[in-house]
Amino acid sequence: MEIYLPIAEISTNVFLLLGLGGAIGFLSGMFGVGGGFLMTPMLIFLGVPPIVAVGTGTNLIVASSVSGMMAHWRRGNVDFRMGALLFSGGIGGSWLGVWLFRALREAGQIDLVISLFYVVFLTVVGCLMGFESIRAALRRGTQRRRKAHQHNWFHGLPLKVRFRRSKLYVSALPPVVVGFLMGLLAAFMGVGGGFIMIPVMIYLIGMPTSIVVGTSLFGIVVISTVSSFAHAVQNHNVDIILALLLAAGAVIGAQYGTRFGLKLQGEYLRALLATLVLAVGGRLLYDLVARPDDLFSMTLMAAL
Amino acid sequence: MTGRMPFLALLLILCGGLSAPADADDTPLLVDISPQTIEVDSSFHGTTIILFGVKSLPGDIIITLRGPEAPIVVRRKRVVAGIWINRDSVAFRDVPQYYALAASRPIDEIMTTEELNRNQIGSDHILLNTIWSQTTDEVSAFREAVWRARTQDALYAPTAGEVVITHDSLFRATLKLPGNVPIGDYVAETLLVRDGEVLSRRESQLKVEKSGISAEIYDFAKGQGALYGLLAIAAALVAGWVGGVAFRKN
Repeated sequence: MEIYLPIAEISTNVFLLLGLGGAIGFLSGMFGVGGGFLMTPMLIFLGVPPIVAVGTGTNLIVASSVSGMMAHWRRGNVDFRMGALLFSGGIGGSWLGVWLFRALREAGQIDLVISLFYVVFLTVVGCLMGFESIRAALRRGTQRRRKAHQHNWFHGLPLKVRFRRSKLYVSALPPVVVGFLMGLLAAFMGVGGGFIMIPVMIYLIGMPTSIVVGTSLFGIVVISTVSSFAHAVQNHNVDIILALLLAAGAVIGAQYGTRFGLKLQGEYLRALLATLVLAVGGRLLYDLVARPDDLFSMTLMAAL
Repeated sequence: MTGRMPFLALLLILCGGLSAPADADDTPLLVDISPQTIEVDSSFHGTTIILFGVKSLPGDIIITLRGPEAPIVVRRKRVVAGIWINRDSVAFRDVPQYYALAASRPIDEIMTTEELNRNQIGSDHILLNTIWSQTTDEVSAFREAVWRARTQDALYAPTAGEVVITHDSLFRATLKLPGNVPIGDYVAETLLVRDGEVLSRRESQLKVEKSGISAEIYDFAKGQGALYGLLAIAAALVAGWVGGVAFRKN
């Protein structure tokens, strides 16, 4: 069954999109990641213009993160003060990101920049995950003990705020800066950015792990909402039909992925994900270095 | 009086339909196009249009159909640090987004090259004016790239179609519009040519419109970005929430 996507302006099979959403949802349920960083490249491989893939991605992340956020909210695992600071940084980052996105689009370089961002970022994340899982597999059994939270240079920063839920008294600057960077990433790549936010919250800010996931999901929902809105206003690149079809698949896929993930061991899971991430990054890199079929490309100036 | 009304009405319809003023009995060329409006919806896979008419003088017929015109930027990739990057660019003014041609004989037999250039008939004779160019290459390479890409997308017809003339006065041509046909106002120009000279010319209008739900979504997204953005977010929130609730109960 073919469906015409009004913003992407291509016809695709409905079941292909549901299946893609389902597969990404399955992976994100299995690995506990958002999946945005796999969704955008897959959409590009399908023939969706990169610009639309990113804009639609931001909207998709709203759908795929909101139910998780609400589950954590009910259990009281969201630090709203921290979330508000992330949010305030995120607004700035999103708008700046979307504005830069638009400027690059008009200069004819946005497709390249999206691909480069993804290649760099998938390679780095894939390698880190790969090494980590190898190390974990080698060192299985010997647990290192970590302090509740370490004091580092972050704790010397001014503008200290008390975060009651996180049981912290730290500067308000790091969350704002992190939110800002997440907003930039969300705007440029159509990703949530949980994989960056979570380590920063645990290792640098020193938040309790129980609060981290809920708070980062809260941050992801608000930042992707802002990015999605900014993209819709400035770039007109959010395809609502595409987003809803993928979301429908993703919600269902995530349920099965979670169940399946529980049966696999953590380090193998991560090694598997690392391989997948590197493969997607490799394919994008290949497209950048291989000689294109046609060196020329055309854009309507009215569409800028 | 009542007996003459239907006849008058019929005459008016005929004249109106053939897009010629009622008093121009002496015009050597009458043309109409069918259909005059094409609706493009999600199931549209292309269509054909028919141009037909009457000529009262001997001579050849050339028909061109031009899509909406727009400025375009053509970019050329070059290798920079091992990566193919858009480097050179040329912008052209008023490039037709669709172009098709039909003639009763090969056009170079009907007209001289100078006349074809002057009337801008045929792929080799259409002027593409540059707005700016940032390249060390020949601009003609960029011009050819436009034709190549458009021909690949079936938006420019690589060869001229046929104009069939019957009884020395009736003529008709069939032109193809592909599924990816751009939206906008099209102009079909019909020329009556004898001995290399244009005796008469007529323009007919064709409208290509988006229709259906996808067209409405497109217009909404482009026209009211803020409202569309809010709606898209609301839909995403509801979809995510419903999904979460549905699976929690299982």
